[in-house]
Amino acid sequence: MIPRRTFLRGVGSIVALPWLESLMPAGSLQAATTAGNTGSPTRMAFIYHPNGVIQENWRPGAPGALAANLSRTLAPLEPHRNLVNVISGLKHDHANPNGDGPGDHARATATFLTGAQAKKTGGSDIFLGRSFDQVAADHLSAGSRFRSLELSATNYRRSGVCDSGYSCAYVYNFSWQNERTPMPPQVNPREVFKQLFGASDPRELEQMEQRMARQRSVLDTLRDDAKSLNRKVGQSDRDKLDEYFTSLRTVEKRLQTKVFDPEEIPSDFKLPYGIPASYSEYLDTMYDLMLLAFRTDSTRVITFLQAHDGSNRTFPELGVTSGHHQLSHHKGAQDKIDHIEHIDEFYLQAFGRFLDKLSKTPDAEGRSLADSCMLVYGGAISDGNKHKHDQLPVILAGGRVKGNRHLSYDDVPMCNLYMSMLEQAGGSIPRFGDSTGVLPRV
Amino acid sequence: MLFWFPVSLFGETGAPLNWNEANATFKRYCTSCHGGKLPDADLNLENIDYRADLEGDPEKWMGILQALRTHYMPHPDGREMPLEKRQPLIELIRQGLVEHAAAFDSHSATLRRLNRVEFNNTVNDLLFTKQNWAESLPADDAGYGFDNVAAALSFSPLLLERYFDAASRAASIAVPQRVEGKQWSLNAAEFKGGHGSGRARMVVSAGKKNGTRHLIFFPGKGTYELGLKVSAQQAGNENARVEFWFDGERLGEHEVQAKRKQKPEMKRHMVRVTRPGEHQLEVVFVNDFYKKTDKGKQDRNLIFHGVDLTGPVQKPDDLRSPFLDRYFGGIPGKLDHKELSDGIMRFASRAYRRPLTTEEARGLWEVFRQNAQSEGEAWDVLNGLYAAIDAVLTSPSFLFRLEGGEEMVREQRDSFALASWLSYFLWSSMPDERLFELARQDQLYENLESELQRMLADPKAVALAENFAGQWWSFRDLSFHKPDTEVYQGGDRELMRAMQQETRQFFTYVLKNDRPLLDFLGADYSFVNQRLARHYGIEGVEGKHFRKVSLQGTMRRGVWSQGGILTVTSHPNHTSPVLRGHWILENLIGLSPPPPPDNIPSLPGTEGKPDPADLRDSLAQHRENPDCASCHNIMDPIGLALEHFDGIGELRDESERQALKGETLFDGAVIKDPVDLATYFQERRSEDFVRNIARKLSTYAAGRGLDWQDEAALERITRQTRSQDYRFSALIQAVVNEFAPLPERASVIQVTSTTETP
Repeated sequence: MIPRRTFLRGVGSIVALPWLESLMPAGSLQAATTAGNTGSPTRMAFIYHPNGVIQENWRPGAPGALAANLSRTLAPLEPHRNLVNVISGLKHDHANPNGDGPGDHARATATFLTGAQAKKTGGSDIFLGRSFDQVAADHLSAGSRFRSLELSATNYRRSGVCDSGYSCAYVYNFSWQNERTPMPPQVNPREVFKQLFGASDPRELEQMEQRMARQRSVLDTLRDDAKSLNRKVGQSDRDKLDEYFTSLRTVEKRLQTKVFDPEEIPSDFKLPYGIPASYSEYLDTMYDLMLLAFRTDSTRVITFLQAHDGSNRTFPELGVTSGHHQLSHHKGAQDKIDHIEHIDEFYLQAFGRFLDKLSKTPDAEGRSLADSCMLVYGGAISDGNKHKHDQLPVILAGGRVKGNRHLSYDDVPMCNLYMSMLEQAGGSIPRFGDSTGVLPRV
Repeated sequence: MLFWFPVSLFGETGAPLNWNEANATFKRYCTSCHGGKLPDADLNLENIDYRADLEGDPEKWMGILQALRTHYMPHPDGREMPLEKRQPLIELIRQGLVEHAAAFDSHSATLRRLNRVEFNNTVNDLLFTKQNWAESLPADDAGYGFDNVAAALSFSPLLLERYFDAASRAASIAVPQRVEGKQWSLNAAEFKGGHGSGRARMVVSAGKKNGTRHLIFFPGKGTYELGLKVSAQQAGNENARVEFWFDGERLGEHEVQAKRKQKPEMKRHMVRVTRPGEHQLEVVFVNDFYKKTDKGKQDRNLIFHGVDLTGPVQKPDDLRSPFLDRYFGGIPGKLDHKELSDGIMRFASRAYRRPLTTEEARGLWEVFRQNAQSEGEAWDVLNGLYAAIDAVLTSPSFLFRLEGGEEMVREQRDSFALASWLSYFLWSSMPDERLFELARQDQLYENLESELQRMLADPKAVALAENFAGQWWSFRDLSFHKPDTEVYQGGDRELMRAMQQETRQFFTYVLKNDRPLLDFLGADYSFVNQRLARHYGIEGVEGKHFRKVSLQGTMRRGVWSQGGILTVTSHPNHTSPVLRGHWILENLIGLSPPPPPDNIPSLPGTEGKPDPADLRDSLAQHRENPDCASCHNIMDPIGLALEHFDGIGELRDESERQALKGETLFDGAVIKDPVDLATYFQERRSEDFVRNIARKLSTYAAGRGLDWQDEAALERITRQTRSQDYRFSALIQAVVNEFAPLPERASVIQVTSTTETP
């Protein structure tokens, strides 16, 4: 028996959903069909691990099959080793100063998904690069309600200047729509839920159809307003209005998808109350929303900045009352290293719980949701003590690639991994960031 | 006494220098490194025409100026440049930059998106609500220290989605809908807090924090009846008592008798719901009891089973709102098309902060008509209004401020643009009725001075404390700063809040009383409540409210020794003289050194929990390296003077403070403790401070980073402020003169194609 969704996708998608084609970027319909070899769309998430890791506890051992005993930090992933590849030998050259002086933390977070060198500026001419999740969304998002979803578990922002002359935009944003425009993440789980499903209450959802009809009806007026404003301003401000036009188009596409059916939300899903006081609960709540977003096919591309490099979060629930960033410059002091080990473990445990839920959750075809995933977990600083940007800690997880492997490379750009991922998902671009090709064997 | 001229601060300086004379100074102190074939830092100062070079690359000369001012240059292992040589050179370069910049007109950023604070305030002022609209928006990026800098305020699809969402909620409040009363129930399992107990929640500890709560969606305005189902487990000699809270207000308290099988009893309350949407219900256990005995334990608990809701009951008044009264003068159903159209245009015009064009008016009416009209039936006026509100609140004309700026044609700098610029500068919100009225009459510029006074006296001016000072001085960060309470036992939330309030109130006091700005550096007063007074060792202050106290006889002066500043410049578990020194240089006296090099070596001997003596020794050792000394000679002595206070701003014990000896500052001043620092600021750095606050406030007002072209404007602002005894209002007035979109009186044109004015 052919699952219904596969049927739609493989045979009659254009007929069944006539508007679909017009919404897709060129070439992506083909990508969707070739990549969807199990019937489910490919889903990608990118999860950031801040401030580097204690290398000794991360090292996955010899290349090949993952070692029988996983290293201390990776141990929480043991139950799901068949979904997990640890990749070593990747680097992000553009996180290095390359003549721009200090500011490694801002640069690292900014470079992770873009492979680009952040322009050093206090704010007047922010310039980075399009992030890979957005490229992936071009190829994966057709048919889902949201192109992409951006999340963060850092619910505060320091005032003032962020890192040695770099604008805070590089520090707190992870995903970038284009060189100049970040995609700001959401930090409040309840608001994320409301954004995905339009409301927090079934009675409010009943009004959704009418609300969406109203919203569709005002788009032309808004476009006219923006056009007339465009005539009054100079070139640099037209860039701002371009961002408005782009947003308008994205929302327009979303408003053409069907109204979300609240029945799709599993009955045991508990609506998040707000930002949980406990950080592990906060991470879990965000991961649960990622799961829900995938499960309901609300989006297929998610970025989750747990915290940025330079984050000075304390972890009272681990007994760690010094700031993470401060500790990461441990200078070999054992007590600080111990604390960092706990923090690394803490983050990997949360990721492990996410993998656990993903593999226990069925998708529309009755397979595990984890099977349709390609998840990147990692950071652009290898050793927090020294701000190094090679030998990065990176995990590629999910059933879209064969698991239980340690893939070792010799100082290769991280962007090559992104090239491979896109290829796996059926897309192709000539180059991304500082890529020099694809990663063999992925 | 006040010091008027920068040169007089240094008594030693002689007559003004000219560029020819400067040649000798450069030659003696600079060109051995910055000359020859491979000059250091690619900066050649040998055999050049200084004046022409400055005009050719003023940015570079801004850097040279700053390097000389901060004594970053000449490098510590080079020849020491004495003050009597240094100061005239500084003045000469500054003067050169100011003269060169005089040809340029300063201006504000042209197109600025409302940041989330401004959006929040504007929607509330526009709809006459008091909602928190900011919390559902993503945080804004900041640039140059402020989150209202246009270039950093990007626009994303998520943002537009959230604006649409806010518009829907705003519409449902602005135009109340008739909702049929219904009955529904909520199971306690959906509640948060307490412990799960089957389908109920058990509350085992007293107090609000330990209760169980839920955000309940109410479909319409009106009165609802809540039937709250509770039971109890009995222990001790009294019945359990429960409190119910609705949106933070206490509904009442009840006794709950324990019954067989924990059969719940129903407690009833009526609640008024003033807007559709989510409202918080809290169930709080009042009198916990627990005792271990020989026979086991005695434990009194409260069990919450759920709530039955009935409503709403709506009275005619529930279908009115300030929005409808104000823009439409009545209930939508009773209005004719002309009245509806006029109302929509009045609303939109206030929202856009200017008269509408005919195209805009036509477009909005079309949106209304399309959504209201239904074939063969009566018009659905409400749906039409909702759509009009959607359109207005997501329009770029509402979301962006267009008030002038470099590229904008002069004719567009009208009184409306000025009204909007002023109100976002001082109030972080849209203009009020009086500003609109003056704009309509084109009389705002004529009344500028009195309007500024009125605006500063308005309660809304507290926005300057919250948004300007809150970021300039980073006391916003106290909201999430968490000291390690094992090291600093007193460093709890209450203290953080108290310290935040102190600094906020201090700034507001100087603003509202038009005090001299130098109070920020040297005031011998501050504002404390009982908690903070105890922290500071000030006696005789009781209660939670803040009052002005004298700091005579204490080590504290001005803003820089207030607890909050000392706390946000510390790590969670120890102080940082470097961060504190840097904070003062950057934020108060504008002498911040360049950022540190890559991968700086770490400070030796500061592991664990360093005390002031460790830090002093370690920093002294570190300054022996000339590469480090070039910046740390500036920061460390100031930071070390503040070591008299610990990481939450409490005065340290006498014994710890003993270790702190006087340090010599880069300009020769010897600073031993905070009192010396206060004197030093007053005697030598007043001028630098005023120049710096002019720069900070101008950045905030203009919404962009300043550059050399603004040097002339900053010089004029500084001079004007000084000439009026450094009054706060003088600074504001001067910044307005330079950066507001002031109309050119000769070329003001009438806006012709308008239909409605705000």
